[in-house]
Amino acid sequence: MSILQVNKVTQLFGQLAAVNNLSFEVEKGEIFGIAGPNGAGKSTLFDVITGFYRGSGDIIFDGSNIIGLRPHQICHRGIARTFQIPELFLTLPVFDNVRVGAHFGVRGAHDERERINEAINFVGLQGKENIIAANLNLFDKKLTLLAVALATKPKLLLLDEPIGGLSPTELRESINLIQRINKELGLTIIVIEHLMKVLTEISQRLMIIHNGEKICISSPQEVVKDKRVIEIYLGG
Amino acid sequence: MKMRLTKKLDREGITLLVMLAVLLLLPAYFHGNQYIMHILIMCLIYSVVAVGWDFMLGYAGIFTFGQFGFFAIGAYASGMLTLYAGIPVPLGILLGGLITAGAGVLLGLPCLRLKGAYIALVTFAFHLILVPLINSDLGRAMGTGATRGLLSIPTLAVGGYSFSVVDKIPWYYVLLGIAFLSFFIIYRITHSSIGLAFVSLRDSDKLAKSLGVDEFKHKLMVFGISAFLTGMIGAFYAHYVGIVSTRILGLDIFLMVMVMLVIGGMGKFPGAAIGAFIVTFLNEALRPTAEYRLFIFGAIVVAVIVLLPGGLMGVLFPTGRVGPGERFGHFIRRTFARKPRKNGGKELL
Repeated sequence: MSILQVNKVTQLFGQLAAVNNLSFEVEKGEIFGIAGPNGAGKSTLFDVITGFYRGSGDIIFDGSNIIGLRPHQICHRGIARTFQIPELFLTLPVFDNVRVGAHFGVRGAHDERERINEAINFVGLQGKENIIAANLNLFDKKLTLLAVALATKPKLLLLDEPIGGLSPTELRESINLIQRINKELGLTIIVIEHLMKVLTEISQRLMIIHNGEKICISSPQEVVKDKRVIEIYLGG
Repeated sequence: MKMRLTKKLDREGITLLVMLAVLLLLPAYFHGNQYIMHILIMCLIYSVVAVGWDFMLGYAGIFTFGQFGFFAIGAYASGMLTLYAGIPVPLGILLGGLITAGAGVLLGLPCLRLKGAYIALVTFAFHLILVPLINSDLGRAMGTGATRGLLSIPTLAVGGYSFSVVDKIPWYYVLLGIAFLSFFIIYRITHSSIGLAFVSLRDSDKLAKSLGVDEFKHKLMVFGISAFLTGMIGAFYAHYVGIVSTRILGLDIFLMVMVMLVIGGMGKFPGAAIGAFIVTFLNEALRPTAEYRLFIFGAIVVAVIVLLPGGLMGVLFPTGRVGPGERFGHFIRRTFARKPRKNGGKELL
């Protein structure tokens, strides 16, 4: 069963189609990878799905069309995301960062404190709750981002380059964490990543986009054999 | 976690309580000297304006220059309502605040689509058009009294008691009540989840929105609350002075309140209120220096920005939240380590 259907979505910036007539489906419970060269429209696609841009076409999430909804409404429907450049509330401690997600991300819930602690413990930030976000290192910032997103109790999680700039050990931990979020919390995950190795390891299916258009969707093993993909990546 | 919250509560709450205690006793110290009482009253009025401004600028991160526009709207609204419609003054002050809140929300609407300096431009334009509007024939038709201003605005009267011009002590205590009620409102908001939404939008509106924070609603709330408090105190001012003209939209007062924010500590409630007292008294103390006064003021502001980027609150509480122009402690450390300072004061800009 698909949790997200993107149907002929286009996002124009003037004459430029950053996302061009793109259609794909994401199955419930899978990790869906998206790759493509710089400027391919990956992040823009996330911005359209989460309501930051109002693209054309249909985006069916969990049975209803979410195109045209504002970002906070889409969050309430159950989609959470992280940003490529770690966006955090830098003047607030980790706890309050997560509190924003827990308090505003779920309508009329009373288990705020539990969700904050759950999210912090899940990503392994116990003991760092009172550190101001600006003083965290990159890895902890990325963990906080994940905790903040998880605190909104999403069904679908969009990760925009979650492991860029990390050391090999941190990278390994991040991959484990993403897989745990998928398996233990049962979240569907769409992940944008430049490192093909990582993508092929964690995702069940992979979509390659280029110039805003879909090149192919299939299993990681097949994608890397695709002629067009090789052309784009190696400049055939 | 509880620890941190109570610590924060203590810091701002205790500062407020100490201020309140001192201000309650000050008239006795000055033996009710009418000149000093007048200055204290102006201090309190400016402190509410400064705190309302700081709430938007330092706390919600909205660069607004329209606060004196709010002040004037409150003053004119209440002045006109009590003069022409015969509304009781306390009700007029409340209505003045509410009308200004409406104006604030209207001004907030175009600002929602803007960021940073553009909001400053729009709100300052709002400030600037008020003077010609009030002085125009249209303004005269509305009852602003045009260039003459509003004269003989009724004085504050509660029950059978009417406040007189010669005895300023009753004025002072009523104002003290209004001012601390305003501070308490700000204090409660900044410690609530609404305050969390404001800060989250200030730090990263993108992330805040993606986490379910309704930017539209919360930004308009900031405008509404700040405008309400500023308009209400503007209305009080109108009844206290008895005359309102476009003089209150002058740039000198505008800049003076900005200095209050810098000296008190931006984004460090209730620093702006303390700044209001320091600057107002300094202004009086420097009167003998005549034309050198503004020069000395300028020098003080530059010195504060460079040496104490967190303002007075940054000195009193150096370990506070990271915010614009904070970190006096870092400055001390850097100075005593004899290392070249990299960006002393730059955080403020």
